[in-house]
Amino acid sequence: MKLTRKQLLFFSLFIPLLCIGGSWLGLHTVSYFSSRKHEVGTPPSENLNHDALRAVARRGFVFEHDMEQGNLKNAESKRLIQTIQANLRNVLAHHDLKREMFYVTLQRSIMIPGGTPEQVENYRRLIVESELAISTSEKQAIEEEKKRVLDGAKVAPIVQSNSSLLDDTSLLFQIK
Amino acid sequence: MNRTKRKALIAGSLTILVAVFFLCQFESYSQQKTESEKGVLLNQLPDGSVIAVSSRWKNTVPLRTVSFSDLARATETDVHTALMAQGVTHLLLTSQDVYPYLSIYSDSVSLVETDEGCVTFRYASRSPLSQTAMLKGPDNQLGGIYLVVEKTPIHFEGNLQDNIKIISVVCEFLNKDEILRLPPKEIYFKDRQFRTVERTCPYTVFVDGTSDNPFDWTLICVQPDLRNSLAIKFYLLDEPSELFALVHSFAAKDEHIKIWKFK
Repeated sequence: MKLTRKQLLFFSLFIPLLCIGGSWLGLHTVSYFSSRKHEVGTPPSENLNHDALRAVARRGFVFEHDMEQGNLKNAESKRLIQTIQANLRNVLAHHDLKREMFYVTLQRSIMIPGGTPEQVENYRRLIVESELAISTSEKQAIEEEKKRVLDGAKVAPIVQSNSSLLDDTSLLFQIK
Repeated sequence: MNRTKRKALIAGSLTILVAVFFLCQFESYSQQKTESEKGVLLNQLPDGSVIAVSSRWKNTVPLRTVSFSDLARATETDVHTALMAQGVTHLLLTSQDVYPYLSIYSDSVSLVETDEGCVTFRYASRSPLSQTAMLKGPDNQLGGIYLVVEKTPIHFEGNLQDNIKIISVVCEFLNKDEILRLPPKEIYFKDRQFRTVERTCPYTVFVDGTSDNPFDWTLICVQPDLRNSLAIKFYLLDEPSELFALVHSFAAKDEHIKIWKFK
């Protein structure tokens, strides 16, 4: 196909402009979405949560007690005159945010063969008390109380505390 | 190659050059515009003003500046005494000055659910704060911060419009053999400040919660020795002062600037 002079001139102007415009737009779109990706979160690659899992499991039975300690019900609270939200945002703009999200379950169980639910509950309470006790005498007294709660049972109770990381990232994205 | 094709080739090359030139001009124009806006705002300061700036600040305005190596970390009284003697009239703090002093906990967010139904969010950082205020020994750090919220996204079932309430906040200190969980002394969330009583750790936690979904939140922890620094009082909190008054707050190219005037 032979192009006329006008067509040739038109294409020589139009095609380079289209290419440059397209690449400029493409670059800006890529940079926009790459920054959006940081905000939305990335799938787990390096599991920072191993520490969390260990920490949660190590004091498993006192976890609720720890959380209760930070209760804001008894905290003094006051309304701020100034809003700090914009200030936080201005500083966080310098942070390269790479958020990873996890869903952790903490399972703790006590099995007393032939035991009643009340016995299990009392035994759980004593485990928490024992983990929180500081002095040896307190710990000894709790051990005695544990024996009393078991009421001479011949089989020792089975106490398990563990945490697990659910491999269900789709759930997290559904939550979002 | 005939003459028409040669002309078309030259015209095409020229078009590319002109387009590239204009695109570069556009980028540089937008940069210059922000710089000049910053200049205009700084020029609103009275003649003879002397501004205290951090040493990383590049001065582009015709005003006298006094460079201060650790401006954001200094306290109000230290700065007032040191700079008044040098005739300084204003303080200039930028978001970039303040950022290095904050420990940001948002790199890993976990929903921890216990078999008793307690739902807690744990925020961890890629570079956790090393500390010795609570636990002693090596590798001693603020491992994470827990938030217990009244409602969780799981229970919202698609309705994320409710105002979420924080029930409890706990900092977790870890070393090789020990774990200690204690509430921080101060918590800032939305328009409220909470001061916990009884057994606490001397840290301040800011919660940046733009949405009602705790997975999107960012927690900022401030060490006790920085709580009264200019970075916190004059930048994050805009706290009223007997010695200084906030006169300007504006966005520049890649940072946000605040100017405080000596009273």
